[in-house]
Amino acid sequence: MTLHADMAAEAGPGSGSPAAGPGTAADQTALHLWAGRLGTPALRRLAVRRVVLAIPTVVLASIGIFLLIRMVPGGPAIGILGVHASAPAIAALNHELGLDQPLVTQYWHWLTEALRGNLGQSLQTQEPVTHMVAQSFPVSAELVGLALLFTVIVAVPVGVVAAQHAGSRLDRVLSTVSGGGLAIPDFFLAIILIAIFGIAAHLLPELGFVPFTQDPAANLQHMILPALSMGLGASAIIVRQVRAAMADSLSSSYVRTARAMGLTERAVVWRYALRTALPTILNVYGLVIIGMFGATLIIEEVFVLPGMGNALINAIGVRDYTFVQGVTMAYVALVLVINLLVDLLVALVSPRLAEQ
Amino acid sequence: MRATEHEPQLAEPESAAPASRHPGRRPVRRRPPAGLVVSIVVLGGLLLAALLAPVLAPYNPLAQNLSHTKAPPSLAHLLGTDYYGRDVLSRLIWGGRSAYLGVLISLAVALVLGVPWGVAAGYWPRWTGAVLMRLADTLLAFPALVLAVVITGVLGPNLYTSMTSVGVVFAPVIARLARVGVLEVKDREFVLAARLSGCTKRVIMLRHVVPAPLGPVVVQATIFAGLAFIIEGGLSFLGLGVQPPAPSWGGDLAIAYQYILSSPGQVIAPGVLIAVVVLCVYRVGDALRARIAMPKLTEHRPETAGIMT
Repeated sequence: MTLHADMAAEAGPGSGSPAAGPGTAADQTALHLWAGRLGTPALRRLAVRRVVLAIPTVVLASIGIFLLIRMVPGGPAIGILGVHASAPAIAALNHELGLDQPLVTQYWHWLTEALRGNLGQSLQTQEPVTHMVAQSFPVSAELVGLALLFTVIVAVPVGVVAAQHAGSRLDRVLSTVSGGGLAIPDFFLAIILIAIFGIAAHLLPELGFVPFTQDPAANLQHMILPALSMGLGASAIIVRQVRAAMADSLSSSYVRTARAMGLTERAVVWRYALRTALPTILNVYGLVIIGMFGATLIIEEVFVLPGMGNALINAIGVRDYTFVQGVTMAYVALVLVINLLVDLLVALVSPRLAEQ
Repeated sequence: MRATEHEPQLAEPESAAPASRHPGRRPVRRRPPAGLVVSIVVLGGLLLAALLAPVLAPYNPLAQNLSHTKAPPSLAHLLGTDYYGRDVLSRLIWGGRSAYLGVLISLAVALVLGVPWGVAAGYWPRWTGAVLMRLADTLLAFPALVLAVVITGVLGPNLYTSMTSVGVVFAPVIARLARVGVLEVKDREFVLAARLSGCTKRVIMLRHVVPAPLGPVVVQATIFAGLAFIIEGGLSFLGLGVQPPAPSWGGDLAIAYQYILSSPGQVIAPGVLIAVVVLCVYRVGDALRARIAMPKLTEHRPETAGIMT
């Protein structure tokens, strides 16, 4: 049940911050209400069901990745040693990698080791893959976290405002801008930002990475442009989704009732309408977060950040198949955890969905 | 079709009003909006340019001229020359071939895999469907780009492998859409009537069941087309797509980015080109979506689909 503890931490910023502006007292009660639901049987059942449902997905995904890696033309050994490698050298490497054993044995060995947290050794650096993942993941997570922060601060309010003024000139301008934002590839956006803020204006470092533990300020300076290049693109999506969800809930009858009861517009929008739109927004955020982790593959390459995406691209370049296999499974686990958290958060803010 | 429930609301402001005013005449068709026309012209023009590249491109896209590198735009070289003295315009025209071909490959793979996948899952929802959808869930448990990159890495990086793997990544989404559409019609009266009147399974499938989800699938495909242009650029940018020195928009952007300190202007042409193409594809997709009148549930899809990058 550690999940529930995690969620309490998650629920705070996720739900509190958009509504934090007006009427904090009411939000406090909302938070208490949600906190009270944490231990409800419905939510617990949902969590258990989701975890159980995730198991076959993990198993299937691991089998898929396992077989995929063994589909390398000529086998991983030839992939690593090259087509001109001698037969004994290939046999030796195959033996070293355990590739001369039956597939089922190999898979069982890999799976049991993976469950114990051992994803094998990198072919290139001989380091444990788990260790390399543990080192590179925080960089990607920080990048995605900062990009998300940007979207929460900028895109969600913009989407709400667009929905409030649906059909107005402002709404149309925002829709055009966000439509353009969808079309600009994030790697091109990254390059533009580097050209403007790094090269032309010398405001921010254009490339590289400084660990947070070493120098927090420098770390953040290096992270601003990468996070912005992911955050801006994601904002285009979020503005549109928030606008659509809010426009829906603003046109509902209970919002009309709330207005008729004489509540202030701010309270109606931020406290009542936003709360109904929240499940939709949370689901969009789930997809956005997963998409962002995918986008780190390119963004980390552009900015030369030592994150998990960059590590994966490098590993593919040098044919480090055990690392590719391990990191890909780490990504699968990550996606499933994100989906689980989103489902639980949605259930938390909308118990009706949890009962289904 | 379930779309009919929503069609009246959507169609009313445009076609119903003039039709009632002139009951005898066919409703006057409104001229398509300028943005849509421009988009179609841009996309068609670029496709034509790519097809006619051997005739249209003023220079050989691979010919280097090391005494004339990084030249600014001029009459001889309309978009200037790159770091190796190659004509940028010619490279972009030739690069259009791999962009369009790549998108075509990924869409073809996505549809050829995804539609039968979803139709089978919807038509036999019990066991086959459960297994097929679990498979889709599994594929969707990877960040799209991660899966595409890993498959490409295993098969060897080039345009065909990379865009085929992108198609594989798109397929489960198409399958889900197709399944929903089939599930909704398969027990409807017209399908039962066809079955009672002795139609063969094949006829029922092809004439009555498969067409049901095609609207949403086509709309989704246009969104994927835009996305595929971005991903093709991204994979070539990473060196996993078209291999240099062959011209490609993403690959040329990567080269321009390498030399951004000495000639920052070089990144503009390929980057803007990708953005413009994607914008046009999305514009066409929007128009299609409005015509096909997507049901409410999937109405918000276009934006969520964009998340896959």
